[in-house]
Amino acid sequence: MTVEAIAAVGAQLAATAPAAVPAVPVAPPADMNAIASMTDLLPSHSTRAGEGVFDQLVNSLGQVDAGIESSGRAATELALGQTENLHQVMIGAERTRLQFELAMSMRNRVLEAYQEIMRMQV
Amino acid sequence: MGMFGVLDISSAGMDVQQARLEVAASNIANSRTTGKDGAAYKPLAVVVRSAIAEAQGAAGMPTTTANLPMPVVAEVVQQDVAPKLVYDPGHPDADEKGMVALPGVDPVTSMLDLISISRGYEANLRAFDITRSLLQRTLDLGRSR
Repeated sequence: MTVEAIAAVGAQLAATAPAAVPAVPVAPPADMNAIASMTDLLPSHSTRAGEGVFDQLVNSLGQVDAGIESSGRAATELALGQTENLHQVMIGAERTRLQFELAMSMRNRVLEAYQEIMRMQV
Repeated sequence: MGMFGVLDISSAGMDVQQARLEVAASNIANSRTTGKDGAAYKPLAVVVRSAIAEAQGAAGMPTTTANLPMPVVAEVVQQDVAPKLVYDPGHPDADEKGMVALPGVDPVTSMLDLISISRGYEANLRAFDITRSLLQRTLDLGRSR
């Protein structure tokens, strides 16, 4: 489908480039269809309404926050001597740290991409 | 299971080694614990089973890494070891022949157990450490510029 669309656009370009008057007459509606089907090539994120990159980021931040909360609770229990094993506290804290760092690096990436787009010459 | 799941596996391994350490320490600490009429302390042992096999039997064993079995301490059992009989007629727990039943805790076996526990815990720590440093280095992948 999309390959045909590219072929159609390619044929149209090839036809219009050498001469002002198209040598091969192609009906305008067919052109429009070809261009419309070109958008099939794009990633389909535009169809997922309301679930953008930022929403996903905010969702994952919620999970990270829950992790920070639970390891904070574990640290309090450790300090109060209520904890059974030290390694679970430490592993939980380490996991939370890594997840937080992952979220931070995702945030930095998204922000970089946004700034890159904002700097774009129009 | 994912990279973060590997941390859980290491944690379960450390749980098991910790239970073994608790039991070994208890055996050593109770090596002089006596009791009347055969109620002396019996050396304890930890039975470790796979959480999946425990629930579903051999049929539940994994064929992918999606559901790897976690080791769990299934139970703590008393070892059937003959007590060491020591002649001590003045002891309150001595029988009519003056013999006192001391727990059959073998000091050499206990020391070997401690070494094995220590190495086992270290091995789990190492697995955790490697997973952690791989995760960290993967995260640093996005920072190079």
